[in-house]
Amino acid sequence: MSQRDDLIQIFIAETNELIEELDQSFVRMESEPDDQELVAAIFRATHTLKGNSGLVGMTNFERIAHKTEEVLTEIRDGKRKIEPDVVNFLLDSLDQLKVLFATIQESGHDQVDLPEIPVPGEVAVKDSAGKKAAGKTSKRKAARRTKAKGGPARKTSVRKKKQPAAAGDGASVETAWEVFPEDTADAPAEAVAEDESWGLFDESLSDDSSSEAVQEIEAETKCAEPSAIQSATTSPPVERADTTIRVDVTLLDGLMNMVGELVLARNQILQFTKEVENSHFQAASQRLDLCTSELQERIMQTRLQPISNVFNRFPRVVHDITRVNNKDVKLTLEGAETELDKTIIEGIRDPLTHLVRNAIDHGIEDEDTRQAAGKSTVGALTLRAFHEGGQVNIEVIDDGSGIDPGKVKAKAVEKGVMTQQQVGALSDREAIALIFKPGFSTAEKVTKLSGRGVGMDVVKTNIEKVGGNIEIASELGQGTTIKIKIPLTLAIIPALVISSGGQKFFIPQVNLLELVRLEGEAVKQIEEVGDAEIYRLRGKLLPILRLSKVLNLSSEAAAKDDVNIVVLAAGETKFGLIVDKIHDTEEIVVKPLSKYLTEVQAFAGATVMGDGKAALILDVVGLAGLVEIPLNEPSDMTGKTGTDEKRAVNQTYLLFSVSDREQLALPLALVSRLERTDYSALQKAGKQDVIQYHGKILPLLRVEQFIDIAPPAAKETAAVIVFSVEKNEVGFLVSHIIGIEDCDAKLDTSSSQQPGILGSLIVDGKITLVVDAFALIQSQFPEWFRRRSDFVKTKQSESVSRILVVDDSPFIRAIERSYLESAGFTVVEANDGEEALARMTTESVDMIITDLEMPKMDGLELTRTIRANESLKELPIVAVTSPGSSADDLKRGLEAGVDAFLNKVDREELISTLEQVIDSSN
Amino acid sequence: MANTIESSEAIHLVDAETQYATFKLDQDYFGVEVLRVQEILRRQEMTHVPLAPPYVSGLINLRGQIVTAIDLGALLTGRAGPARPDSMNVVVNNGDDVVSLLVDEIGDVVAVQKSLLEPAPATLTAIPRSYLKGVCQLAKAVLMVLDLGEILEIESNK
Repeated sequence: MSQRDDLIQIFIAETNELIEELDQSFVRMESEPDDQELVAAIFRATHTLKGNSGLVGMTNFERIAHKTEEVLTEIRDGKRKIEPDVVNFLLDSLDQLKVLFATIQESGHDQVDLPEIPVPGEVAVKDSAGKKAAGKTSKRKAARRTKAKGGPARKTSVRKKKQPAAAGDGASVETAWEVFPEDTADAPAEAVAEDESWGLFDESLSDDSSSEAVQEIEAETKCAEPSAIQSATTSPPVERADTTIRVDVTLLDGLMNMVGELVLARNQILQFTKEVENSHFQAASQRLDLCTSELQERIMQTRLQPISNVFNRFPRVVHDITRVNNKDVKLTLEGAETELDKTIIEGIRDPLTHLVRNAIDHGIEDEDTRQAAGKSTVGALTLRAFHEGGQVNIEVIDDGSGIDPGKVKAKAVEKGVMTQQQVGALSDREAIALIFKPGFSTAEKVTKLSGRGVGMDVVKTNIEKVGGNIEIASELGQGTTIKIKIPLTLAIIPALVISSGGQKFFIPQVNLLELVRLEGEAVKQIEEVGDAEIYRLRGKLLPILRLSKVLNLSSEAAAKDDVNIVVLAAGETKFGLIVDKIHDTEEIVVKPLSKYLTEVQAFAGATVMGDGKAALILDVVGLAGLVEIPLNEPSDMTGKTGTDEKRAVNQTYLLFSVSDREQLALPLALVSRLERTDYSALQKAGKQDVIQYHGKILPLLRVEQFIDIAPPAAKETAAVIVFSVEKNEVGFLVSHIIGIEDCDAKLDTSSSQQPGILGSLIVDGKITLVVDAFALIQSQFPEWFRRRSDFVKTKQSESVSRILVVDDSPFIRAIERSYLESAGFTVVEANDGEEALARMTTESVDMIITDLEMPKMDGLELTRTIRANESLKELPIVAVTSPGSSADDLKRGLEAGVDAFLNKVDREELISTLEQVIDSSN
Repeated sequence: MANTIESSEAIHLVDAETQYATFKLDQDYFGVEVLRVQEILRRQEMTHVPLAPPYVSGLINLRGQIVTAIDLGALLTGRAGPARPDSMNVVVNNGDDVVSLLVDEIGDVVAVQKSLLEPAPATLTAIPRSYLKGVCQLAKAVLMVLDLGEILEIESNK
């Protein structure tokens, strides 16, 4: 039994290599159908597979291998042409073999039900082939018998001297077999399948093998060729057999761990050495230092694997994709021998595959498009790997259509990742980098292969997981280059030691950009923007994070002390980390944290310091997540909107939707900022939906619960429109931010009498409901508005309760009405001065808020008329100026008798101005 | 480990004995299966982990291995207790991981027959009953037998 287990172990190791070899060879075969040597090599590999599997009793495996071999026989004999369906048959069979192989590895048997793959053109070919084969059997057997003894000798000679040896050299034959025990896997295969093996070998020797009169010596000479070819195409087996052994990976992992321990012990001893003045001891510890470093490096090398382990699968991947979507792509692999740590190789396998798929799916155009663009019809895809500066660089280069920054920007707005204004400020390069944001896919059509919801953000995350970073450059129409940089190894890394709050932490050196120290007065260069701290680093804004604050530690440094900023990069995000002290750099062994600490994003792992204490390694990417600069430009949105337009005509709206059915809008001026969120991040506080934002709780309102619109379809991500009311913040949870639109404020207030709706608009031919945001907020959080209402009621309600709003824009009137009503006033509206005067004859009002520029009678005229009227002249008048108003306008306004000016329609300002006016008029 | 014990119990006589390592935490007397205990250490130098859940006291370096020290008191009661500067470490294995339970005082190893294990008294509210395999009357005190598998499955839900 155990002997069989051993056999299976050998079988698994051997089969793994053979399958990989076949994977590449099959694809090559399609492009180089005339390569006889390739066919011969493939045939041999398949044959060995069949023989080996038979030997360990894997009957299913053997059967499929046999079927594949039959087809290959026909190809080799020229009875079958290498056509796409034949190659596909071979690849499909190989896939089945892989499935079986996986089962064997797992459970030691191959009893899996697999569908039969039809042999292309089976019936016709098989008949004739069968007969001919039968006819030949006797010949083969005859030939075999004559060579039974020569066989091994031939093989040995090939491996040893790559020359034919004399057939009679019997003694050397025997020793040769013993010298090459690695060949045993071949040997039993041939032994079992000897019947065909040698005969078939004969056939592979020469095309005219049907002639019986093949001389023995001649046969051997020719046989040497395919074997020699095999050694040339794969790595040379001669040297390998002598110098390499297979080692279990767990053994290497164990070694690596031990070396890690040794490095730590060495660090401890070195620290100790500093305190001891004994030259012998110092010399010894120096030697220990050297040897440890050397050993560490060597052990690390044992874990290195050529990147070809990943690259080699791509010819097949490319073949499969191009087969589906009718593109012709030539794949070039460069630097496949570049070596990387095994764990990293495994880590980049999926991201790279995704990138290759993307490049073909979205990058390289189909033949017609390429031809029209004047490119070669065959797309070129290059994978290149090389060492640079202690890191491995991998590039995925295609000559496809490139990425259109314009499209990406439009998409960013559509997906609510950014606002129109923010997008406008981006360079093309920055715009292209947006594709790494979550929930982004530029493919117009979701295709079978790459549009599976796995976006570039996942690729980025995976690359970052192995300590790498990814960049993209693209020229429209010329192609795209994606550059990945990854460290050689993860286990032992150089790190910067810093301390904060009296505790030491390690920062991986890969993330470190520079150190900045601010002394004395320079400390003030750290500025505050809103609630965020920033530092201007050579003209660029660097968000600042204080480690002690992030980690809730008490900082030792007083506010006036000098400041140490560690400038860090996490992918695209750069930020400065203020720490109390910066110490040294050290080589550290990364040890994982237990599952109880995985939630703590700030740490990537732990290590043991020179003094034997455990210390934490900061996760720079995790920290960056904490400073992820919110997607907004706080407050200046309000000031900037529609500056050049006359506001009465043009309003800027934020368009959004809750479901696909309705388009909704809000005056952008009301919005404090936009956020993206995930439905999974929503939490409940009582009955209130809330979301955590920078450590604060942001209450969320669902628009669909207030007004009569369709509820949102289930989605993963959502957008939050944030408003501030006084010092409170509240968000509207919506599905989609559509964009920002300047449009004529022809707000139809008659058609929609729903509470919470100001009116409707037509934007881009779509009916759009304008939501009365403050009314919704007030209905939910009346207490936020109470102060104003109370104020109005107690002190002023006698003097002012009815306000006449005069403006030729129904939109502005609607907004002002909403603000005023939410503050407890009653509102009367008029379209112009004439109408206002008419109104005042029938209704009494306590105050007027008027626009200055209006048709028929403008605001100044209105004011003068009122001031001239004996019964109305005490009436407080507030004028709303347009952004273009000059000092002269204001002067004229004052002369006419205006009590106060409002320069924009802002709720806070409106109410406080009213308060002032009311106060002073009392 | 727990599985092996249980299965061996099944094979042996119904009233098999299990050995428990005992310790004191505040006034309570607890036991854990001795086979899960890797070692017992005196106070170790501990590294504070900022932002960690309240039941994580810190990290200790156990011969190069980073071990999470768990404030058992906080974990059992759900609230952080007073700092225990002189805590002993009961290092237990938990699958692939090793954790250290901080306790006040180490007691003897006691053997308890399975039949003597009773369900926890219904009035016990300070500790979730699922955390206990049962209680056992000893001459001097009542031993609460902890279900380590259950306790250490805290995952990230706290």
